[in-house]
Amino acid sequence: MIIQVISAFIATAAFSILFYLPRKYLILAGMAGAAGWFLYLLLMNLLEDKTYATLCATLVVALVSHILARRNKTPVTMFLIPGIIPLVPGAGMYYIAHSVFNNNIDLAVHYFFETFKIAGAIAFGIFIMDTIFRAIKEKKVREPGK
Amino acid sequence: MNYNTLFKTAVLAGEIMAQSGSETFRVEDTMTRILRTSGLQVAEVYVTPTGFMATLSDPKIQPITEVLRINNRFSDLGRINEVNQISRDLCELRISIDEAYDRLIKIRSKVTYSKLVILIATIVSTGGFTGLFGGSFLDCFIAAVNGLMIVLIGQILLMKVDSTFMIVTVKSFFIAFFTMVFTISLKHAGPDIIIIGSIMPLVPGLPITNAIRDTLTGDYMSGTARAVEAFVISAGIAFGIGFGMGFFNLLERMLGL
Repeated sequence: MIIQVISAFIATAAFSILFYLPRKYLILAGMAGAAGWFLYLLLMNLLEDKTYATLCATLVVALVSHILARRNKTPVTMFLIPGIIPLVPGAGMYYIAHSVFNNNIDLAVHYFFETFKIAGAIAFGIFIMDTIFRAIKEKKVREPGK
Repeated sequence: MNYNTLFKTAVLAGEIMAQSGSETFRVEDTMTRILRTSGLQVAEVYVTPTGFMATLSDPKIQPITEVLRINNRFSDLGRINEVNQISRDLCELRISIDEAYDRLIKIRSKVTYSKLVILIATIVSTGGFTGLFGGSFLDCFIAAVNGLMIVLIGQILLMKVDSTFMIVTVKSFFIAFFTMVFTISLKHAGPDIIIIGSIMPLVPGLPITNAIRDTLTGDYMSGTARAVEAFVISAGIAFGIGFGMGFFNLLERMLGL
C-alpha cells in the first residue's frame, strides 16, 4: 500500500506536467493526489465499497485543493484536476470495453453503472466542498461592508 | 481612459482562459472585472466553451462589441493561473492596462515545458498509474513503454488529424494491442492493470471536473457541452481498447498461435 501511495504521488505530479501546471505547484498537486488515493485505499479495505471510498477521497482532495488554492491565491482547478485523476474511473472504462468485447453484456451493464456511480460520487464530492467554501467566502466578503 | 485597449485586454484574457480549459464562470468573472474597471454602465459578457461575446457600452461612448469563436482548445493550467494573476493585479490597480496587455501577449508565446519534458512526464505517469493500481515492476515498465508510444503517435497524428475522438481511439487501440503482444510474448499474466494504467493520461479529467463545476454554478450550456466532451473521449477510449484487443485476437487466430 505504501508503494501504491508513492506511485500515486509520482503519477499525479507527472500528470500535472501534461496539464502545464507551473513547476512550483507540482509537489503540492502530487500530495493532493496521494492523499486522496491513500484514503481511497484505506476505505476500500474497511468498507469494500468503491462509491463511498471515492466520495470520501474526493471530499479530502477537494478540501486540500481549496486550502492550497486559498494559500497560493490560485484557481482551485490547479490542484483539483490533478488531485482527482487517480479516482477517475479509468478502470471502469476498460472493464466496459473488455466485457463488451467478450460478448458479456450483463457484465458490461454492471460495469457501466458502477462507473456511472463512481463518476456521480466524484461530482457530489466536488459539489459539497465547493458549496462549503462558497458559503465561507460570501461571509468574509459581506462582513467588512457592514 | 482608452476603452479600446481595455476592451482588447479583456477579450484577450478571456480568449486565453477559455482556450486553456478554464471554468466558464471564471472566464466570465475575469472579463467582467476587467471591463468594470472602466466604470461604464454596461459591461456584459457571455461565455461558452466554444466561443464568447462581450459588450462595453455607455451613453457617453460608442458601444464596443466583439464575438469570438474559440477553436483548438488544450489544457493549460499554468496559463489560467497567470491570466488570473494579471487580472488581480489590474483590478487592484497595481499595473496599468497597457502593461496587462503586454503581459497577456507574452503568455501566448511562452513555453512552460519542452516536448522532451512532456515525453518523460507521460512515461513516468503511465508507469506511476500502473503502480498506483497495484501493478508489479514489470507491469510499470510495460506501461512506461506504452507511454512513450502514445506520445510518438500523438506527435504523428497531430499533423494530420484534429478530431480528439480519433486521436484518443487510435492511441487506446495501440495501447491495448501492444500490451497484449507484450504480455503474451513475455508469458506475463494479466494485461488489465497495464492497460488501465496506460490509458490514464487519456482519461478526460479536466472535462469531467469542469462539467461538474459549470453545471453546479448554473452554466448549463457549458456544463452539458463538457459532459458530452467527457463522454465522447471515454467512448473513444473504450472503442480503441475493444478494437485493439479484437485485432490482436484475430491475428492470433490467423497465425495459429
